[in-house]
Amino acid sequence: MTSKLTLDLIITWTKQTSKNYRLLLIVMLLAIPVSVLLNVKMISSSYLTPTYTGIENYSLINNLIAKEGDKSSAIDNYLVDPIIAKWPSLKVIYEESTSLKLTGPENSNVISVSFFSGGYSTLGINAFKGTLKALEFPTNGSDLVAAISYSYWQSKYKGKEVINTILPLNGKAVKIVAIMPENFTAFNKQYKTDVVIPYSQKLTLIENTSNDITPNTFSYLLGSSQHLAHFSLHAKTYLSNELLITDDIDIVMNNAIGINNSKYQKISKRIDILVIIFSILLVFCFVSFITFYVGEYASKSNELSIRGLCGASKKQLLFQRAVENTLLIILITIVCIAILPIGKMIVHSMLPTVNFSDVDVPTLSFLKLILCLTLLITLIMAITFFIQETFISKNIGRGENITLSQKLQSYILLSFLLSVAIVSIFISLELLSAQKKLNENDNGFITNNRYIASFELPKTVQTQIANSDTGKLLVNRLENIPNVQSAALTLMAPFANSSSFFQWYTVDDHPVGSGINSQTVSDRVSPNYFTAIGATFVKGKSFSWQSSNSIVVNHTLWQRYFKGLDLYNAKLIMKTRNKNGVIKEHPFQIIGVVKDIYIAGPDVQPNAIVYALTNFLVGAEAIIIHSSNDEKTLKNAVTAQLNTLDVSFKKLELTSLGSLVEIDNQPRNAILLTTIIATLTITISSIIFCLSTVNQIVEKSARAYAINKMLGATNFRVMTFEARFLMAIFLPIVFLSIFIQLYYALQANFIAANINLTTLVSITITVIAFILAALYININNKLHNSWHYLT
Amino acid sequence: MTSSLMQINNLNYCFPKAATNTLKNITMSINKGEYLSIVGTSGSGKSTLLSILGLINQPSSGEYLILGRNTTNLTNKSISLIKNNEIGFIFQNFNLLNQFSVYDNVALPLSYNPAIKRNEYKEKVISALSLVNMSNFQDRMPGQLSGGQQQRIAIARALVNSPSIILADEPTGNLDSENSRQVFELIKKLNKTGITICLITHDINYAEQADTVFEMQDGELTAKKNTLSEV
Ligand SMILES: Nc1ncnc2c1ncn2[C@@H]1O[C@H](COP(=O)(O)OP(=O)(O)O)[C@@H](O)[C@H]1O
Ligand SMILES: [Mg+2]
Repeated sequence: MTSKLTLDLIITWTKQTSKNYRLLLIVMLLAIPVSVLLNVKMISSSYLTPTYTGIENYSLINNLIAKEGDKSSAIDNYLVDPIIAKWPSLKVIYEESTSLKLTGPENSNVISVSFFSGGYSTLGINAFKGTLKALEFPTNGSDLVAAISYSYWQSKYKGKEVINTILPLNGKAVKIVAIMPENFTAFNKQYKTDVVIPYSQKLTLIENTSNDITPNTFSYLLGSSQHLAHFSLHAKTYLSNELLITDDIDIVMNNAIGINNSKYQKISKRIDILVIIFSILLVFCFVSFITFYVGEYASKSNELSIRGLCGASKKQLLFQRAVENTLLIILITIVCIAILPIGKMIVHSMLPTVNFSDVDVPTLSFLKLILCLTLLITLIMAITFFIQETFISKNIGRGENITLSQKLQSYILLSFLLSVAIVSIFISLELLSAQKKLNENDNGFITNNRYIASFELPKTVQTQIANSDTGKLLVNRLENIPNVQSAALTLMAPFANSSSFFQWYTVDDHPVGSGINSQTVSDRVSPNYFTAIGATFVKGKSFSWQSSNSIVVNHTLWQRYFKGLDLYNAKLIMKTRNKNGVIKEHPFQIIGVVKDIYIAGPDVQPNAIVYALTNFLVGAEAIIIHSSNDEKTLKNAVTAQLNTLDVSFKKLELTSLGSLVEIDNQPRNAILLTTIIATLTITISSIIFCLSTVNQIVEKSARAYAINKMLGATNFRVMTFEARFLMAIFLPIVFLSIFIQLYYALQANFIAANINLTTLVSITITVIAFILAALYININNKLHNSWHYLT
Repeated sequence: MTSSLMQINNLNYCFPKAATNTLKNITMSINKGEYLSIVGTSGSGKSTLLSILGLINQPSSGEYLILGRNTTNLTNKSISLIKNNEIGFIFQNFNLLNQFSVYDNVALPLSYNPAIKRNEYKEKVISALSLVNMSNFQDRMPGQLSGGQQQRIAIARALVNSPSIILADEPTGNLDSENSRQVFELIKKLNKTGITICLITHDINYAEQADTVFEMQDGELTAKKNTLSEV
């Protein structure tokens, strides 16, 4: 084809398109969901494929999680052998990040250490210098080896030769055998690791520890994606049938590396909701786009036949279609790219906890993005072309009268679009009510006049104050501040993401919290914690400073282990291990059951929690203060009181609990708002589409109606006839389509299994009533001046 | 060299799936510079004959020579080229593109003419528009023009590539008598400049002004008047 023709076509297309506001609007509508979904894709892929680990082959590793109720942890050691026996091609690896003391002569810095089992060659982690061979699953008792991180090498050794030198760590000599790749930061998203040491050497390096997994331990499964998939399918059955592990424990896997499962769940839940909303919007816009595109075909084919008369060959006409479709793809691509920042804003508002500077746009290269778009739009074109060629080109009649197949086609499209609208409105309403419920959820605490103070205790003084009653002293001082109603200490401040664990058992030696390992979430609080935070007691009351053998549990724990029992009979045993590894048991009496406190927000179900008395400060506490003072006055007063203690507190921060709740609510409100906007967009555009389709059909059928009326049919009969025809097409398509859509929505866990039929039926009936009313009013108007259509 | 522009010998045409031939054993010739008109009752096959002459439909049997070349041997590409260079169409319903401006409508055939460069478009369009006295309307949209004006735009589009022949199918069918008169005057004027005209019309008065008048009846063609015929 000549460049002249191409240029002509481009100019003509540009002129035509710039005047075609409906097309521009639809392109915009198409671009918004596409750009949001692209953003979500970028975020989840950067979240799920963390480049900070230096891993190249992400598909070969899965996070392996033992889940009991709402508690997630790494899987226990004793499960590893049975798993490997059953799936010999898989490997279980552990990772634990912690801090250790350097014991060199010149300094005694604390450095960040990551214990990692191995699998470097499988994962494609290649040493920057030296070799990681010695770190690949070394046997117990082998010489201590380590790989240091690139940044540690730069800062500590200034890039000098270090391979085969000795790192004095925790009083032991560790040989540096490699430098980790430059892009390795840590295996745990919250750490910046300096030194990597084989997991099997943890016991050698640190005495007095057990090989038990800790809340900070991650377990991973290594293997080909097929084997991982097979494991994921059959693990649960195998574990419960052959290993007789209790049914409460579930083995789950996810793609995240070094991310706490509950955080992962929270974020992926929000990402899911985003994907739902904007997928619905995309499907809807997709359908309207096709409808629009098909609708344009009549005038387009007229144009093409006139061009044929002017001497355009078939090839040239085909070329014109190709040019125009390409231009449309380019237009959509440009609009999508222009709208990407808006999409980013929307996504950001819902995932404030994701650090967006981590999101690496260039990794999902720009070309890939355009390719995705082109594929998507080419698909639309192909579908449209198919529809056009198979159904429509034959329908272009000579006269003004609408043909049966034109009517059929319009009604089918209308039915399909409305069925999408019905389902999307339904899902949106469900989402809205779920979000609304969350926002109205009883948090179990009161935000009014509540403040959280956090502080840092210098490490050197920590031992000084242990075993003294500094805690009690501190609380008393604070409560003496005027207008302070109560003050209390806790290890787990609301929204602080901190948790503490102890090993609790029931009297019949049942571990509390998890059947695999006995890490129980346990808070240490001062007696008036519950008053200070405004929690209410279901049973009993709080302990006092004196009652050191009493504990309070939350409602979840009570329901799980003591349901129906009297407080009097409720006891728990705490087990501790002393320096020589001997286990000691301490019995505690439960004297109160407190309503669940949702310290991580309403969408995170609280664990079973034990509240025990804190008798001394450990430095990780936060202070909850109930005070009618304003924030500034309170902060000054608290600072003053803290200074009267002989212990030096640093970095005092005071935050109102209300503001934390607000921050936590933000993403939910954003989801709420987006859902409402998406639903409104869908509703309004389907109303407009419905009205214009009905109007067009009635307009084109006006002559037929008029003839019928002339022949003696009443207005009502004419209308009923048309309505029956519409419903005969509408009802089966809508029901079938709704059924299919809900089926897939259920499969993808987009909606709850107990579908709210009343809502669904009411929406459907409303839509049917609307479309019938539109039809009746339109026909009625036409029949009023029916004579016009006959003369 | 013969002065025959188009020559049809024993041509039959049958629409796909139709029972009988719509055009029956037609023989005719159109000479360069001739003004020819065809009359006949509705449904007699006039438009069908024009579609054969305009290379829109291919004859079912018989011969059709254009400028001495047998059309059955022509490729799609050369057919398109002949349509573009040699033939201009005018229809009863104008067939303008309503979403295109007057200028763009007239310029449409130029895109498919390899002999014309883009920078010649303007001159070509303006000269075609001034031939039909519409040069002041190039920025209008067709919807903003009267029927007579629209038909003149359509004629300008037919003329823009300087064709040898104009095929006009009831060009005044949708026009009032004054506008019809103007269009016929225009057609006559074009014939004077050397363009061959083949005109289908109901208006017997205007038809009679042609050099040659054919009558079509039930798919058969008979000569009524033949002032210039050498036969
Ligand atoms: N696409 C078609 N398929 C079948 N028959 C057709 C088609 N178009 C026209 N005809 C028939 O061919 C005959 C001639 O039609 P046409 O050439 O349009 O007549 P005229 O232009 O003289 O009024 C008519 O009987 C008409 O019904
Ligand atoms: Mg005709």
